Amino acid sequence: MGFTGLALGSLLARDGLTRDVGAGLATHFPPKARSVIWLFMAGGVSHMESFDPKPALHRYAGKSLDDTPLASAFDSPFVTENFRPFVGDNERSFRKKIYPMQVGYRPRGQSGIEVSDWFPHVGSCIDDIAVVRSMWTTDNDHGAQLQFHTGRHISDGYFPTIGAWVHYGLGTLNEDLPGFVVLGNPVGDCCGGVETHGANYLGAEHGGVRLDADRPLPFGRRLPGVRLEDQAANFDLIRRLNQFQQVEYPEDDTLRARIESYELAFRMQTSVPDLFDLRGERTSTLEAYGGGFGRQLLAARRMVERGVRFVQVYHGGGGAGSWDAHSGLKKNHTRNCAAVDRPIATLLRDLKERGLLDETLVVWATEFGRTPGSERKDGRDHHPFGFSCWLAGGGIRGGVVHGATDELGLLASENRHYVTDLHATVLHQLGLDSRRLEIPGRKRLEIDHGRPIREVIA
Amino acid sequence: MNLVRFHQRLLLIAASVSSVSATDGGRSKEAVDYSSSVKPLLARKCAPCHGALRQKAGLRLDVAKMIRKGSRRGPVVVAGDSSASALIERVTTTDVDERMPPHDAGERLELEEVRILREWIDQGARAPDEALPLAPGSHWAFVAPARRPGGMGDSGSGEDGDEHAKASTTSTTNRIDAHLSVIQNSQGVVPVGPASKDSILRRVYIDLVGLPPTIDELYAFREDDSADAYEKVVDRLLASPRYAERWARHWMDVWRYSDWAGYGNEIRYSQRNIWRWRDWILDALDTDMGYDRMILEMLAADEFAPGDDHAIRATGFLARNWYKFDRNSWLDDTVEHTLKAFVGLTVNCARCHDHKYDPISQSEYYRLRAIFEPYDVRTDRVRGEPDTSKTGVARIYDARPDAKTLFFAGGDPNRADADRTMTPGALAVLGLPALDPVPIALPIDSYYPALRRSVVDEQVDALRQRLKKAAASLATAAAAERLLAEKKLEAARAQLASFRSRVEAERARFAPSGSQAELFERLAREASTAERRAALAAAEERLATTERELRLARAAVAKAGTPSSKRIAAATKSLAAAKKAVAGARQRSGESSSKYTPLGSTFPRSSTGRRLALARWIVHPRNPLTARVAAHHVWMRHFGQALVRNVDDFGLRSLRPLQADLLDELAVSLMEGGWSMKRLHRAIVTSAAYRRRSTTLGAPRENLLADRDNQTYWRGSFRRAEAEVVRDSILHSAGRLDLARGGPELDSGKGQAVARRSIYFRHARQRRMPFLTIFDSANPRECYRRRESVTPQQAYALVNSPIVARQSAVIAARISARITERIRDEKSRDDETRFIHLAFETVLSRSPRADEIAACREFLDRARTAAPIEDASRRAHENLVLVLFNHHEFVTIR
Repeated sequence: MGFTGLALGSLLARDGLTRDVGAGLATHFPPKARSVIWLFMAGGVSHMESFDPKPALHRYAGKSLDDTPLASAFDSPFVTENFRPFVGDNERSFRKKIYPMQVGYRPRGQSGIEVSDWFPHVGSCIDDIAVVRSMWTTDNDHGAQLQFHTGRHISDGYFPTIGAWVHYGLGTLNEDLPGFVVLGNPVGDCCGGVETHGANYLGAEHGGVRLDADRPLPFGRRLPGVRLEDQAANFDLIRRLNQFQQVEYPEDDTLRARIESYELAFRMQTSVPDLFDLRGERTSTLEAYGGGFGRQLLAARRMVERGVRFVQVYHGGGGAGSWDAHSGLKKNHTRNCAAVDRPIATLLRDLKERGLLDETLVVWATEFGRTPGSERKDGRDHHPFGFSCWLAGGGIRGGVVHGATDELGLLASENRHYVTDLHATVLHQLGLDSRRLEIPGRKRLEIDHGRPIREVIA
Repeated sequence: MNLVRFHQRLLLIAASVSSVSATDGGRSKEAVDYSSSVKPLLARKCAPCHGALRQKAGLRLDVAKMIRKGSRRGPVVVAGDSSASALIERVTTTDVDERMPPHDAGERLELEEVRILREWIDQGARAPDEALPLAPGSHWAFVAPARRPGGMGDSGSGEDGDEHAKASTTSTTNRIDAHLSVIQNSQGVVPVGPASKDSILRRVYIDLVGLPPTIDELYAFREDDSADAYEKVVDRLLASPRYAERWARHWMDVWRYSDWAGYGNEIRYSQRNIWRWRDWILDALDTDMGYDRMILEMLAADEFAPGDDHAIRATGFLARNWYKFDRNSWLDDTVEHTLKAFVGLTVNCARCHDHKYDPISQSEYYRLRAIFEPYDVRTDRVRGEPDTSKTGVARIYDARPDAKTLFFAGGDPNRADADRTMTPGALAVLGLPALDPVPIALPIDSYYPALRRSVVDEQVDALRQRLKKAAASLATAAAAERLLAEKKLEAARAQLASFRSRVEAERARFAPSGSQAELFERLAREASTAERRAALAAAEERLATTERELRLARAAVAKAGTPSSKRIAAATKSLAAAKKAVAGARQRSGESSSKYTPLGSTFPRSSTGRRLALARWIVHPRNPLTARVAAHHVWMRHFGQALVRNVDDFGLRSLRPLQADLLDELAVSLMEGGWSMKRLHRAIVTSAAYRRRSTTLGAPRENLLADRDNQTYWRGSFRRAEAEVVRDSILHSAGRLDLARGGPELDSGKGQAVARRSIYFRHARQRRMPFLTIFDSANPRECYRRRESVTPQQAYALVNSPIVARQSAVIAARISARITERIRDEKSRDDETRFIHLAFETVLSRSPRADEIAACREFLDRARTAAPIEDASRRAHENLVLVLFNHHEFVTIR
């Protein structure tokens, strides 16, 4: 946790403990995007019922995987080398009884990309979307939620998340607001908790700040009975007394940072409520976004308008995640899809109408897909070997599909991408090269960096 | 190419050492400079395997002379002809097995990197002469620290001689100043004078006990004119129990203190009762236990002092690494952080491959792991609580003395080499005697805790109590209850007899070398009989209970007038079962047997001695790292400045610090002083360096030019107060800090309401006090050094938190009362000025200056006049105190 607005670390370069990030780094190359809205569906969305149609599932429905041409798929080195079950349970991702698709698909937009009927509104925006159907990860449990953001298996510990790297690299565009904001209910403690938007060794000031209309920052509200004018007078005296100190301690950078931090804190008492004050929005806009998740996406748009760098919006966070359809997949996914489909499409259209989509990269993601085989008759289990994500705006090619899973949706088979490839793509669009974001004494591995998915970049 | 740029390029070429400029198909090639382009590239991509540490294939690519020499198979570079050079061939080949770097060692070279190498070779592979780097063993931190007379003499000034003399003859404190003086002279920096009395008092209080002085302590120090007034304060603080609470938290950072964490009640990380280790740390610091002894106890109290209930708590250091899901990552953490904490080396880098920068091989990593392979965690009972699920002591022991450690190729447990069993060992590069673990026979108290006299006595006491109670009940029982009361008494008697008999049998069974084998046979039979009798008595008691229940049920039915009830049915059923149980027990009681239930779990009777051997290796007087690393942690926390950049890495990448001699002095003093921490603290905080003022106002301009960052310690340093200091000081300033010591961890969610010191609150992943997190409290997973951030959230925490508001009110009320009582009213001040003075002294431990008084007065006046509300004056005073808690100086150690 930590405030991420100003990169105040700049003022704190002590023994190389912190580094110069005053206005952020200059980008490594010309950026295509300015901000990111990162939509994360917690629990694991079925790729086969969203963006990766698998008609073969109908052909083999009810049969065992052993009776299909892909009987030995799990013997592939891709699986044996990469798979790191969280608990000693190797069985769980090998549900063998093939379960047919629970929803129809139809071609959408000019591109004719097939999107499931549970996502009609997002489907109508498909010409602005690049679908990646060949994502993979290594954890078969919900620690994959953390992994999706840090690039590391939960057993390896905590690391900076993609939003924190962006903030570390670029700083903020609006000095009245945090640069990395978290909306929605975060991931449960089991699965990464607040570390899923944390900054770890980059420092608390780069971590995601949870903002919510109903939940202010920790201690972010006046105590009952404290009058605004009294508080203003307090801030004023604090500033004056601290300024006197500058005579005696001209070398104390932290003193300057302290004075600024109080000014920012005071400004945020106005700027943060303003984010959530929707009175200026058109009725049609409010109606199209809807409440709940939609209201958060509207806030996300207002944030990127105001220069917030990275908005991470969780859907269904807490516990294992609401998309975790071990049974009753149809009921589960229709309900969840209904909650997110129209709001997401509205966000894309709204950004486009305002000319913001070009500079705002929207990412839709989930920690893993679900098994082609059934669990408890009408559900699907966790599936890390192949699943779908998508990107839109921010210099991404629309109306394309990249990568593929095999005939049954078992394994990513073409142009596989580990989760950090998505990170590298995001960084690339923002003008950053992951390999040049290094912290002395913090060795990053090849797997941490990933490579940009060039095929989806315009 | 335009003319201007062409000329610039010509100039560039002319300026370069190897002035070769060729054109190739119209494209101009610039001279490739070895030192700036080629050498760093080879160092990054090739030198880990072909350099000072290792010379695979006999090849070294870290020095030009050795590059020319080539590998065992011949030259790798043909000057002027890159296409004939093996070096280029090997980095460009498409044969994956041939290509360098090998796929598991690093990324292949980028095209641009290959181009640099090619052109450098084509241009003649020119390079300046350079010295061969020193052997890794001569790295400054790998050579045992030695006391050197002040500095390396790189300054030729005449004063040096005096400093040398001083450094070699007087106390550690003086030698600290002498070493710094040499560095200051060499940098042309003049140290500033001492801090004011107020300032140094606050500094040393917060530094040593984590709390500011009270207003009375401040006044007393101001009035103490004796020459050793400061030293007296230092001695008093070091003797105070508050010292241990302050410094325990520092060491808890380094030693990765973490309370248990998990999901609901399921423990996934660390252990319950780990707070007993925290209390051990407090005790150890309080009694000034030697740091060497602390290491021995933390790593191996079970081997070093088996049966010592106080020492065993120390092994929480290892118990803390417990991890439910993955033994490998548990042991990896253990190896990594044991070495980082005590010797400052990143051995974890050698888990998957030989260390790229330090002379630590991958097999050494697994030999270190073998030291810990047998250990596991258990909870022993503590006095007064037989139920270890309620409380106990989390400790370690060698559970699997024969557990094998295999070599994991590439660090991958799936690639364990079944033919390579690793024997325990430490690191060769430090040149210490090899580890020679000797298995340790454990006393019975260790491997059979249930048979300990204290445990047995406690249990006997409990059984006697039961017996006494049963006898008393019988004496007063009504006629109808007599039978049950008798049975209860019999059962209690039989239970006590059974327990005693089993204890005797077990004592005989575990007597040394079977000396009581015959006796045991008899006692075992007796124990068996007694136990079965007790079982019978218990069954009869149960029978009597059910009979009584049936009687009562019938009476209840009769009274209510209903024909039957579920209660009667249930009681009838119970009665049948009880009768059957009695019959069974009676039959068994007649059998002849020598089987009985042991008193509790037993554990292996010997320990491998591996951890003790490692601990001895760590505290070996010639270990070059242990004392340096510890002294450095202490120094850094006194000054807020590190001497070595990465405090957990003293390996080859860690350059010899400017103050290396000073660090050696501290390390040697620590060892010579019996590893006493308090002596080291005293030496440091009584030095002139520590007592200098930290303001740069009026400092010589040359100082700021030459050493703005205060590397030479010409002034005092300033730094952000740690999270615990911030919270505890708020409470302490108001006199509201609860100074109770030790005990189970407190709910991390209650930090605003409960006034105990911060160290006592639960601190674990996802379970950290939010107020402390905002001020950068330690990451429980790893924190060798705190961060010092400045964020708006800190502003909110100090402006809007209940804890600050409440204490501000308490302080304002107390000051107002003090003024009314006219205490310390020696000067003719008005009440408002007096309030401002006392508020500054209470919160910031100093008097306000004129401009500050004026601003505060203005604040008070305006608040009173602008707000026509009740209590305007009281609110204004409370707000003034709150403002002072938000003063930068309050969260800063100056």
